[in-house]
Amino acid sequence: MEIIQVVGLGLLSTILILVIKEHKPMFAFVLAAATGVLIFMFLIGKIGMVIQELQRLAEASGVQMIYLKTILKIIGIAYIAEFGAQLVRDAGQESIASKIELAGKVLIMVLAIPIIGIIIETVLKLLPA
Amino acid sequence: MEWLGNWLKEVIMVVLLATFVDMLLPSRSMERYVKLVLSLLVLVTLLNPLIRIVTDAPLDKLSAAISRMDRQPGGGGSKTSLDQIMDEAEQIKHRQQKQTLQWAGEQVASTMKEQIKQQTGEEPANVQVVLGLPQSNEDPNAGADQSQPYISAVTVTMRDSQGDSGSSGGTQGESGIQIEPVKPVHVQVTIEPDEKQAGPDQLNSDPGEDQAQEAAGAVDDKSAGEVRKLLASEWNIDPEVITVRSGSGQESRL
Repeated sequence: MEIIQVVGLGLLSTILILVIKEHKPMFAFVLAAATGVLIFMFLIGKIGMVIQELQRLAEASGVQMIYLKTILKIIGIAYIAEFGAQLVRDAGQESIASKIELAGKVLIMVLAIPIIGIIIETVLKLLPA
Repeated sequence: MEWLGNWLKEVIMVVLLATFVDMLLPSRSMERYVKLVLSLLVLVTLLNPLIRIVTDAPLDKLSAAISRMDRQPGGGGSKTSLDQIMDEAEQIKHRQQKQTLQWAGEQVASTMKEQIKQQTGEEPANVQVVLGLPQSNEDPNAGADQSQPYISAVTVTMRDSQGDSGSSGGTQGESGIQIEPVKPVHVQVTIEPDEKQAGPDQLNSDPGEDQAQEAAGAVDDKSAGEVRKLLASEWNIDPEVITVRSGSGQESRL
């Protein structure tokens, strides 16, 4: 039933934004941002549950926590970058939104650097000198 | 064969996690990048036995690299990082020591309170114990293990009604009962010569407290001496560090 709440909130704010947009585009943006944050907050608890379950599973099966940490960081960066980019895109600043996405992509790639380092090191050591 | 099972378990879990994360992803725009990192992770997991043969402690290296990246995104030298870690360790050690001492002090205080209540029949309002560590451990190997904490200060706050009823000569029946255990204590205090000797020095050095003590009344002093003697003998501490005060806040020293 929570999905009804979310959809209801979305519909309500959409109608309000449509009404208000003619007179005060600024407030329309603020309303859109607030709605986005509200829905995001609403979902944070659920995401937390999922992540806790993942963590529990990983601990139970003896997977190295460093893998899980990296994976969780990837999700976090992706979510936050996506949220910010969409918010900015709603305000009509397409270029800034794409920059935010770029930052998210770069940060995700940075997470891969230690992994790539280890793989390359192994490969180099395996090759006969 | 156990390592094979562990390895398979790890591979399966990482692949499952990666698939799950792939589904959790909010948008398609990030997908390629996320997939690259995830596939690298799966690759590392698959290669793990090989990596472990070739390099020593790969996971430690990986976690160290990641945590270093967390701390300073600009890269930075590894020269300062060890010092930073040592500094942090020192700070954490100090904090833990302080917390431990505080907690131990609270425990000692509650035990003292119980003892005073049992021995004298008067329940103190508050007992505060400050524990200290000897500062002479310059040798890092000596550490905190060898240095015993000692009791550096004890403050016993007696209930206000005790002092009042004692000085006013007993207004209630209850106070008449409580005067009884005080009298034999008075005898004990006179027997003890050390505390009597220690007392005048203290008083001479602090004339303001002298007046305060006179105002406090004799009965209060007796019970204070009793409490002091009890604590000093039970806990084997210097009577000088014990401060007994009545509920109104004025200190009385013997």
